[in-house]
Amino acid sequence: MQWSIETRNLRRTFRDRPVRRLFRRAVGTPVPDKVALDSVNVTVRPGELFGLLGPNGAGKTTIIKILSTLLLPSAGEALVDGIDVAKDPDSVRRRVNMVSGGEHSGYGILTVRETIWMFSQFYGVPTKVAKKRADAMIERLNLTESADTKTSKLSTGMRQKMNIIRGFVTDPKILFLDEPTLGLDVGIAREVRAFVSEWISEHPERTVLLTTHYMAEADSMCDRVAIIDQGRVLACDTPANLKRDLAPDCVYQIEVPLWTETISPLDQMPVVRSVAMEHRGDQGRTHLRVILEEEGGIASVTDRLAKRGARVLSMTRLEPSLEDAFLNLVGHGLSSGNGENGAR
Amino acid sequence: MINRLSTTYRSLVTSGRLGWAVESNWADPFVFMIYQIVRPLFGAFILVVMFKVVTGQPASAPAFAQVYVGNAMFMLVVQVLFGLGIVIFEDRERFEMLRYIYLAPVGFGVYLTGRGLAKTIATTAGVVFTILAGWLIFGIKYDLGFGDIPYFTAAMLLGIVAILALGVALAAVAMVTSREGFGLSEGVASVFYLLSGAVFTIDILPRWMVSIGHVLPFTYWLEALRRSLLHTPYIGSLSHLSDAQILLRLSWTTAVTVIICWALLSAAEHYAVSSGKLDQRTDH
Ligand SMILES: Nc1ncnc2c1ncn2[C@@H]1O[C@H](COP(=O)(O)OP(=O)(O)OP(=O)(O)O)[C@@H](O)[C@H]1O
Ligand SMILES: [Mg+2]
Repeated sequence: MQWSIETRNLRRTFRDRPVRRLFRRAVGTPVPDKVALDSVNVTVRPGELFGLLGPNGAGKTTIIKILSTLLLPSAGEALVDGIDVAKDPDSVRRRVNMVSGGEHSGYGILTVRETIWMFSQFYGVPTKVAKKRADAMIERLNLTESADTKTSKLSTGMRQKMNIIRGFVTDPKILFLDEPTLGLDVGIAREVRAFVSEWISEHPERTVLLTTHYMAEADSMCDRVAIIDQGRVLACDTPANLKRDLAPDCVYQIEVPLWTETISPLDQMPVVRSVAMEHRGDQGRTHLRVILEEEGGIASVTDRLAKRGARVLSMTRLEPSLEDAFLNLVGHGLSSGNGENGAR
Repeated sequence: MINRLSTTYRSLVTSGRLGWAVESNWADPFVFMIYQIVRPLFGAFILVVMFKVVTGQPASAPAFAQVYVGNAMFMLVVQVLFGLGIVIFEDRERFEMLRYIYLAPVGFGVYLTGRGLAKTIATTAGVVFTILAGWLIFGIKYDLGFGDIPYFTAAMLLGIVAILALGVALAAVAMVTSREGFGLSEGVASVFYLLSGAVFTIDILPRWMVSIGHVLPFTYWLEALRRSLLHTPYIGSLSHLSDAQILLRLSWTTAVTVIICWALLSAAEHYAVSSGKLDQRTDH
């Protein structure tokens, strides 16, 4: 089968600035190259909505940049629609498009419609087709009222909707979405997700590669997810399988009064596989999410808490989630929240 | 193939229109026009004063016409080079669109050329007014007959090709070297101002500088324009060349410039994607 996206031992390193590198070498403290991607192997089938899930600095954007021809690999190969991105970037560009979130992109002087039209021209979309497609997408994303507004006057949400349409209007065979809902409010994030899901179900032969650090987004949208951390793929499967195989059966949420210590007293217990802690300063409480090696361990955990003077306020046994799978695999939680912009 | 060509053409026009939108982004088109005229005219007045101070001759001296024409035409070089440097800076930092432009199949060179064309057209208006003002205000006697028009047009077009090629290449190089982008273009423009004899003839420069001047397309471009507008050669070391020979030299120096610039653009693009400098921002 021809993969839609395939990477083989993909590696990318970054060098320090030449001047600083020379200086550090001269004073005898040379800096090694920063490894952003370390032998990444991923394969994506045509028609898949594939997710890359990972914390900040995991290498998600770097993968997207390489696949969309903005960055060359340091070693290994990356194939998009069977074409090597390093050897024939022009052919790749005609097949792909990219949208990233959390930025303020847009020619302020152009209106939404003008921007979209301009990019359709850069991709050689016939004028009539482009107009029709743009209008349909503008309506779908409830952007009609702002369609003739200058980009500089748009809110963040509107701007991102425009950005999304800019990516979809060229009808790419493969689309890269780099944290497309970053910084959007709940409602708009949901609209964007629905738009992407609908598009892919209407164009079953198209492929979407999406990066996110919202667990629930990956869980609810993606056919398959690769969990990556520090430039390595740690697991790759359907969300359901990841949860089944990686998420442990014994996950508890324990609520205690504000816990000012580190988690190490719990973490070091043999029955505890991992712990994540979240402070609710406003309520004066701390939520501990504890993954146990075995069911029976919960009693010793509450004992330990009691000895440390932490009264258990409540305790809930949780359904395993993708986050637990992630936590179990990566050993630490995501630095910023998950699903807080309404992915569930 | 036809498809590719038509996409390239449409992209060129589209980026030209974007350039024009940026260029004419003034609340009031009237103010925009005034600005396009007043700015070059102001420059012309300064030139008159400088000429009087430096040479002690009045503006009616024949040499003044040559200086005036060279200076007016060179505005195109300065404005296009500077403008394209700004395009990189703004697309990256202000509009955050550089990467999307870059990954569009149209090709970065085509996009920049389109933006440069817009700048060329906007500047041409100012150049025309300055040339007219030379006649109406400073009493310069142009001598452009009907017969000179093909020659003038050919020289003008070749010059614009060279300017655009250089502007595009410098913008691409600036993209991967300096942060601000326009610094390099501005620097090169000022060096060429001197070496191609935009104001004072290059013959007064040291030998090696003259030699550089003799391989720059802009030297021949300005000489050709001066000859067709004023019917007298300006640069002494070129006076032995016929008008046709000047045009011929303009053609091949332009061709070489285009080839070198194309190579520079490719090298800069390659460096940008291999080093990851493509969308680096100043705050990094
Ligand atoms: N141009 C660059 N120069 C130096 N280091 C870089 C560069 N680009 C990325 N890196 C480093 O490579 C690593 C991976 O970065 P990348 O942007 O791919 O992460 P990410 O998964 O997209 O993270 P985030 O969630 O923050 O967007 C980071 O440690 C980053 O500092
Ligand atoms: Mg990123």
